[in-house]
Amino acid sequence: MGTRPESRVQEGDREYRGRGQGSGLAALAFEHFRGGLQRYLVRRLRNGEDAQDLAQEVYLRLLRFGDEELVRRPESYVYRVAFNVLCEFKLSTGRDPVAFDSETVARLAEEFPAEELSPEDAWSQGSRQQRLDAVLARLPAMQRAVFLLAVRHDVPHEKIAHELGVSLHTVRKYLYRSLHYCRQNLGHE
Amino acid sequence: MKSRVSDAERRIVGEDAAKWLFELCETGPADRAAFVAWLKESPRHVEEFLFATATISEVRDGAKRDSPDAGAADDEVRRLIAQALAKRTDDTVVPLADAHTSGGSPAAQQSRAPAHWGRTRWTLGIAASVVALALGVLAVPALLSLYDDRYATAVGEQRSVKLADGSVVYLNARSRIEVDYSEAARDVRLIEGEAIFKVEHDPTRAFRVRTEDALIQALGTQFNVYRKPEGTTVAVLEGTVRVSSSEPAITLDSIAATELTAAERPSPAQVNLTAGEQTRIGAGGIIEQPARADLSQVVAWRERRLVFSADRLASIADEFSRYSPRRIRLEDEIARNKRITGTFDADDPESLVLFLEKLDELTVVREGEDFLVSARK
Repeated sequence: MGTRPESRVQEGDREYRGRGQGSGLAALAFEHFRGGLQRYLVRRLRNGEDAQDLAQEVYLRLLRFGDEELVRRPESYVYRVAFNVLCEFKLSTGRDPVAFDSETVARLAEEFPAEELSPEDAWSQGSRQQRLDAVLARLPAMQRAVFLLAVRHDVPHEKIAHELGVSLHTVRKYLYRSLHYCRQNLGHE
Repeated sequence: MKSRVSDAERRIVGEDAAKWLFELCETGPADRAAFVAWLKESPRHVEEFLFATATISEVRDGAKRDSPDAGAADDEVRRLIAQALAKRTDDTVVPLADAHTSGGSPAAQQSRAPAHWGRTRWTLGIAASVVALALGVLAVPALLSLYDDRYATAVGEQRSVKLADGSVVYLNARSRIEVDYSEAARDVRLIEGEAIFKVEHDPTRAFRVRTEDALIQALGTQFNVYRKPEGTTVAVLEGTVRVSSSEPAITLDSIAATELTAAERPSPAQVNLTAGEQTRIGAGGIIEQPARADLSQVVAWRERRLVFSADRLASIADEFSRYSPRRIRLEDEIARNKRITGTFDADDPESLVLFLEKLDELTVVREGEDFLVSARK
């Protein structure tokens, strides 16, 4: 017996609303992309043209939201819209023709947050992590420390600046630079 | 193929995306508004922001593997700091090395760090799983519409849809299509609104778009179809399409049987349109003579521009209502029949209103979100 989608709606809805507004959301926001969804997103983004299609679609849907609405929690909207678009993409590129049935919908809705990997996914994730490690290893030591402390260990930027004896400005500069370096070296293949 | 951007531009956008991603948590409403404005500037910004997110997410995943528990995480934190400081040639600042050599037992140091960093990670995890759950649920309505092979856009929304054969439909605001693919043909019904069809070439299966008034057939091409109450307008951007009226009643015989004035020339049963041409199929199935189309005007809607040349204010107000919930209400005949030429931002009816206010013969009153336009007394 799987969870019924209806009960998930209520539960999810309540919890979603129950969360406070504007409190350090961005730090949490990228956790939206976990498990299957994150792997799928990365795979789509790695293909340049797919990434453009995806971004274009998300962009067009974002335009229809009023600014007031978006400004409250912009990143939540971006991720939510991206999630919807990804679900549609995933369906439309499926090998088998899909006929509507409520069970499939419920299953797909549950599939994304799942943590288990298929052997194929596990392999591709393994090799991706290896590539990521290699890219990170090429960063200058200071830059790498700043990046990993902030991203992997959630160390506040001020604390990083203090521990490494650099300015807050430098911490931020290193962060942006490192992330872009990863993006360049992992991006469109 | 799509054009790629320069490295320099990519670096700027990439670092901007990173900046937003890292700093959103510390921002107030003004900064969030700036972030929204940045996102709305370009799909490229959205792409970079999503990519930054996915990358960060992957980097964090690595932490789970490398340092499965708080102790291992703290070891890595210390190792990173030590490595970074070892590489520093500037020897005036060595705060952590000091802490290591001067302060307390190793155990005391270990207990200091995890209490802080460990808790942060735990909180993040809980919140994240809640969000993931909520997101999973929100996706369901989108899935439903996909299964149905019906696509619709709301007021102000535009979207592109990739169909099973690779053809792409760009749907303008407040539009609706129904897709029906079979072995023999690719049929799409435009029920409401406007769309550009970019058809994947397939000589064995015609691509057919139907509206109430018209049937448009193509093999591989690009064209815009706009279904209005008074008829359907078809404009071809690329290749050739065949347009026929969907009313079988109009044939040369039936036309010959009635008395016709010169203006009511017999309408052909079908017309071939080539790139740069457009025609209108009226409600009675009459196909107008093909005419040159201003293609930039035809596709302006994709850039959310509205282009009018001597169009009645009534139809202009109608156009705006497809993009914005703010109504422009025309109170009398003078206002409805006023003809306007100009290019406007589709999302901003205010731009039109500002223009109308400058006209001598009209006056505009704001009522809540709406605009009431009438003749100046």
